[in-house]
Amino acid sequence: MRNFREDKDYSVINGPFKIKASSRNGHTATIDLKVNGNLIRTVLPGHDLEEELGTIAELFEGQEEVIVYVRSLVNNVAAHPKSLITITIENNGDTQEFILDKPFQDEDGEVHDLIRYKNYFNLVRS
Amino acid sequence: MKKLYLCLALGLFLISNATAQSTDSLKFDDLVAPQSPGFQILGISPQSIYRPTSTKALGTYFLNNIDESAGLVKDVAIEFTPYWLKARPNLTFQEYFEIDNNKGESPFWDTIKKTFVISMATTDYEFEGDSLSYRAWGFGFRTMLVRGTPHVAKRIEMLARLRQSNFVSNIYTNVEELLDENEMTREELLIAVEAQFDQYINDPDLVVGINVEEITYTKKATLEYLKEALPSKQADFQEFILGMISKSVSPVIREIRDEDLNRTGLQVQLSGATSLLIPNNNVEGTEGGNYGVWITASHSVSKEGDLQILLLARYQGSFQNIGATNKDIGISLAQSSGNYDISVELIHRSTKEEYETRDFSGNPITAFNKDNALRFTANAQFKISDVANLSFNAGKDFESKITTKSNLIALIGVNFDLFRNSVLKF
Repeated sequence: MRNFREDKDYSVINGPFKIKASSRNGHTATIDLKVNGNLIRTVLPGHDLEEELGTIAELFEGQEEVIVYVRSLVNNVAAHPKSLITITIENNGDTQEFILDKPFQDEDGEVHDLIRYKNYFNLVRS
Repeated sequence: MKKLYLCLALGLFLISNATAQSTDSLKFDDLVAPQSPGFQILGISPQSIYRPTSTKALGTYFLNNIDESAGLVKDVAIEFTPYWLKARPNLTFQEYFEIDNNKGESPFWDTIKKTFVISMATTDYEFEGDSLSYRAWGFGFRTMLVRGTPHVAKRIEMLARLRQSNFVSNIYTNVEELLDENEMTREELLIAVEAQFDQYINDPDLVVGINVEEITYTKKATLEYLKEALPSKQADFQEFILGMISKSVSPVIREIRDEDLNRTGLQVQLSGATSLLIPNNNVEGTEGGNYGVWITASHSVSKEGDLQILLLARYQGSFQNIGATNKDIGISLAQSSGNYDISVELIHRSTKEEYETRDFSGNPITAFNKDNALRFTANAQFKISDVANLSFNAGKDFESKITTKSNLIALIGVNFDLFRNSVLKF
């Protein structure tokens, strides 16, 4: 098991806020979505995460800061030696895509069955 | 001219590795296509094989292994699948695992694209009394033409198990993150695990891919396991939980990888290889070496008692001696059930050798030596009772103009296994 932490700042305007996450390269993953520490959805292998979290006004209601947390556990099932997670954020017509890939084999030559990604998106009002 | 003769000698030496297997010693398994044809054509088994996973790594490898004469250095051994040299951001697990193919691609080209493997190697040859050294480069490929039929229902069942095991692994991941922030006693940890399951039981919409019954079952099994297996020392909790994240899913992941190879129906593999001979590793003097083509076709079904058919074909020759070729075909049929086993194996070899000689008038001529040989074995075993089997074995050795053996042997016997179910009483 390896952990990878990717912190991203994401500037939002308003309107519906959508988040999608999927594993590819023939692999599959469990994907967890939390907003401000609250679990929104756990998606098990064979499915992609696709959530509409509401508008930014709703997201920020009573909150100073909104942290969207996407955690992925990618299963090493396909022949491709790299895990791959794509996270897409759509807000008010603007789409940003984050593509993350890491090899299943580490520097010591050990091949891992699972790779864990932790991605935080700190939402800020524009 | 000396160079030409030396090249010819080297070519004949190399072909002896690959093609000059005597008919007597030829076995059915010898016809099986090599795993890495690029290595086999040179007659080598490299200890260390480089398997690049990106085009950049592939390019870097070749740049690092070119010497001053623009040739490849000695002991290159590389194997790669072009399809997997780049990321496949559109390839879903369901498509990969052939549960669902939404793209509607031709199965034939899709199979070739995903299974085409290239192997390449170099090695050196030196001959006594020869000042030149020779580097041979071997290039080979193998690909499936027909991959067989996957057991889709079994694969769907495995995906369901993968979901269950991932669900447990995800619970452990949550607990590991909690342990990262708080110290917990054994009881607190067990309560935290239970709470993790309960949040999904109380609100099943929180999770996609598992139902409440499955969650309840996995909760019970996980808590029972943890009560037994959780270390006594609090300091060991985190390491234990971290280990469980992988441990929960690893067996299913390995089963899925194995299942990808498990297919029934017709499977056809094509392999080919050739070698180049390079005197003093100077590419300007390059000549062709050996070549070979292998076809393996098999048909099997999962149900016990069904016929298993295997066809192996091999064609080998050398650019150094164009007239010398070997064509081998092997067929194996096997059928088994609880009461009987029957197998038949047949090998046919056709060889052709071209050589310079003189006719009766002393004029130089090119002569051919062609030979065809056939060998078969048949074995059958029938269960007569719990302790006795009737066996029949027959075989015919190669018969050809070169090998004179032509003996048909048949044996019939009854085997008793008197002590198999015996219980000694005093």
